[in-house]
Amino acid sequence: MLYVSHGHPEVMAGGAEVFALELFEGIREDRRYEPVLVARVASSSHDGTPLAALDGRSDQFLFHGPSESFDYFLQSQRNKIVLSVYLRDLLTSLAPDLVHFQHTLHLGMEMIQLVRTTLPRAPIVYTLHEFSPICFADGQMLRPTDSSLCDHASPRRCHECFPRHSPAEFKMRELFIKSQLSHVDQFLAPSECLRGRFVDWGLADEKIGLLDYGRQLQAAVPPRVLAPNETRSTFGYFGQINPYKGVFVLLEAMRILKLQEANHIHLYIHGDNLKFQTEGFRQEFESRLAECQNNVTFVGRYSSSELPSLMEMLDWVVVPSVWWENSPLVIQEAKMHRRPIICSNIGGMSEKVKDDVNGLHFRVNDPQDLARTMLAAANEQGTWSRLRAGIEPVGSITECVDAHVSLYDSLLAQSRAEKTYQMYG
Amino acid sequence: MASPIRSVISWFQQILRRPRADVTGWLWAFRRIIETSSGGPPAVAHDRKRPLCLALDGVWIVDPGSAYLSGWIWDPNASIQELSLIPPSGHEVTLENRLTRVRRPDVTDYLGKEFGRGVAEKNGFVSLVEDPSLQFTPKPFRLRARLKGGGQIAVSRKPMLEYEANTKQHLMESLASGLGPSAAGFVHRDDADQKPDDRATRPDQIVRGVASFGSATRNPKVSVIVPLFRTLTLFEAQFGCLARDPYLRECELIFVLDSPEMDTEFEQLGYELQRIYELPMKLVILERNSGYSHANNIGASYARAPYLLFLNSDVFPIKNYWLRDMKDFCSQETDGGPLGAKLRYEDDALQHAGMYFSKDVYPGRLWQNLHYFKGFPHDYPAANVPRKVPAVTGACMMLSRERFDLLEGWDESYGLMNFEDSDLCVRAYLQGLKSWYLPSVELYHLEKQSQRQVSEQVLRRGKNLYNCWLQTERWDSVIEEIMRGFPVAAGDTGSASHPSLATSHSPAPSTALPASSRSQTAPHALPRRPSPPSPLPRRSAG
Repeated sequence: MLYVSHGHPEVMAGGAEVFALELFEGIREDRRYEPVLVARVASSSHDGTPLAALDGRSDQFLFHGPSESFDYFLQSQRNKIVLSVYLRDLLTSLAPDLVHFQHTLHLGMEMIQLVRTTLPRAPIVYTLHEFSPICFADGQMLRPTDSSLCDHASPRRCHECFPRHSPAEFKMRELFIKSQLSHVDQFLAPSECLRGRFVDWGLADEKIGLLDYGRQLQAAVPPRVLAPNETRSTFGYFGQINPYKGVFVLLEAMRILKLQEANHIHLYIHGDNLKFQTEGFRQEFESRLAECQNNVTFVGRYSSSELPSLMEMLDWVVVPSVWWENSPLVIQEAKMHRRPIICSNIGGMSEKVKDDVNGLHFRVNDPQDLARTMLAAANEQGTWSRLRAGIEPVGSITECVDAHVSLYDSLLAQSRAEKTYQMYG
Repeated sequence: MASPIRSVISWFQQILRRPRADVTGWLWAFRRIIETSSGGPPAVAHDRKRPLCLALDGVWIVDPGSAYLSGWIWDPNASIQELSLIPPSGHEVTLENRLTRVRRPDVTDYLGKEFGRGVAEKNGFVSLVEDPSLQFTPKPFRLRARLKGGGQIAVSRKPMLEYEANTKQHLMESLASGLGPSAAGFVHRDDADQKPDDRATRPDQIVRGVASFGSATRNPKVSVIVPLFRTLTLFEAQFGCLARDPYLRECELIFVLDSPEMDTEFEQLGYELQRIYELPMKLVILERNSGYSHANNIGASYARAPYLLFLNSDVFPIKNYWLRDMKDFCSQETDGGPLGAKLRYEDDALQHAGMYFSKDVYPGRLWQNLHYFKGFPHDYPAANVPRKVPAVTGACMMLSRERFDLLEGWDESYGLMNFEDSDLCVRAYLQGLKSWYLPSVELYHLEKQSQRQVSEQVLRRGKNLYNCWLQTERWDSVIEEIMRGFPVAAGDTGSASHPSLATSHSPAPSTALPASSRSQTAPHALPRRPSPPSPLPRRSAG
């Protein structure tokens, strides 16, 4: 089988990319399928091909797709020769029985069509990670006009967000993308929130399966050792430092707590990719950090092997994202180490964290409410223990691999059963 | 000799001949057009000794043997004795009695600033000059004034180097900038002393090349013909949407590229799309941009299927097998005559549910094309009934090959993609073929792909007026007869608020929808009426 991803964690780390690689490795170790990975990277390629076997490995290809040659509007590949020659040759050479797309960003939606054309009998699986097919605003469904949350797309609403594209163009975008997705046999969504949004958008309900990310399990680290009279007052943030993750909401809450002289509350920020943000964003981050000096520690980049030791220092994990989120890996990581979670009350976060069961919700984008919630969490006797007891076990990568493999099995059985596979149905 | 340009020119001539025609400023727009065209800035000659200016804004060779001029003269002392146009060949053509004077507010402003002088009211002029010596050449033409008491002044300009369709567009744009009221007053039968040469000969079928991608479908069921103009994204997106439909693989796709300046880009994209989608197609590249009808006719000349579907490049299917449904209906119900589908805007409002003719729209004496239920919800019950309609849109129209040939194709004398469809439907009616609307087939019509420019709106106004006029000139009584079969009823848009000539001809309002139930029960019993003699000379097959 062929396994297509929009990034390789060895080159750039992001939640979906990390999961995609873990799943690939899991499937490889499972041995029922022999997966080959094609992962897109932005860097430049050898002359005459966009493909390069990753450090000579036999089962991993890097696909060099510069972002300039990707048409974000249609989600298509501008440099058509990439598809019409090179990826076409790859598909016909490898001739996989099944193709699983983790993403088509920077590759091109037409790659789905290309698979259907060159491998008419191969089932196609497509995992949905955010709202890219629906939403031109980086697939976040967050309106660029006022950063408000968007609950449904329409040509008129999208045109309001992007006045330089007419409503008709947005309809064209939708129809084109849906045409490409019409060749997918099975979609997978890691959260009900995401799944529901795509059903509302028009994908067939029965074609989208719900399957949460599975993780390489780590043994839970013990609770933080408290000093005499100390409360559960240490909080942690994990994730990229970007506008969607709500790090400013969190820093504002910390400023409010500092004004209230709640100096026992401390926050550690673990995260990376600040360098990809705008100058204005970086400056605001620095100045907000300075305002909360002594109460906030910015640690920076971390690797997954460091996670246990970082978790050991914390009581709570905060997920303050201002967009819907899908199934944030940080929530799974917190659950794995049995740290209760404080999160925004929307989307994938409120789905994966039950208020007052295994964590606490606060009103999205409301630093006052977050500050109040954190203060209560730190001060109320028994809350932490109760919520910690409410944390359910996280699905392992092995279970996730099993679920994928049985899905592949049934799709292939179905495809073999259909004597005349509907070539372009 | 005759061409679509000539019918535009005929209209100009008629207007110019009207003694009291108010053509204030309508050619004023020429100045802007000309300044941006290839002929350079307007040429002005100023006599230093006396108040006298001569300016030539533009020379257009509209046909071999006729030139169109625009300019202005400031001659308060009436010093000019004789004015003539001198082509590079040196042959002198006098302009006496050939000038039409027009108001030029811009010239009045200019002279006021430059000379501080009062000026004559109509200092602009336009002229259509016919002389065998007026042939296209890149060399300059001279406009020369001989002066009383000797001496002369002259200005010269190169003729506009433009493709025919651009010339047509410029002329129409100029019409739009102020001619509305004159056109309203213009349509009087007795005024039409010279009928325009309507059934213009088709311009030469100039095809630069045909690229075939993929091996052509054997015995295609339907030929889909799509004229392409400039936008690569539309081509790619529409192709991607068409290609998902298995039925399209039993049909053939013919794209006709009407912007040859982009031939390489389209050809490359076509080639690559074929490699990705493996859906065969033909790309016919025209030698020049020559308009929608022409592109459609050329496309049809390459078509091999018994049914033709004319499709605009901004029309996108919603469901698979739509084309099969249309073909089945066309063969079973409409006898191969024009068949239209339900078209939606991007917001799911109705764009097309059949068209009708109306004189409700100002200036009232012209037959406009209106759409039933335009802007209504797409599932509006009255728009969900398959039925006969006065006309259907050309954005998505099916005909049998046989009927299309009988009708001799699309007429090329209308301006810039409008009214050719209703014209075709009227001609079908004269052959006993009714136009049908099939609502079970739905597509999106995604107009306005780019934000519309103001100049484009102006242009639309002009071309609309011209097209309305031409349609009325040609088909007034036939359309009246057609519309008698479609009484204006409560369900029709606009009719209630616009009492009109059309309604006065109509019988008492009846049901919301013109009768179609009879033919539903007996689908093959379409009434055949004998073809009345065409009121116009037949068009020679191109």
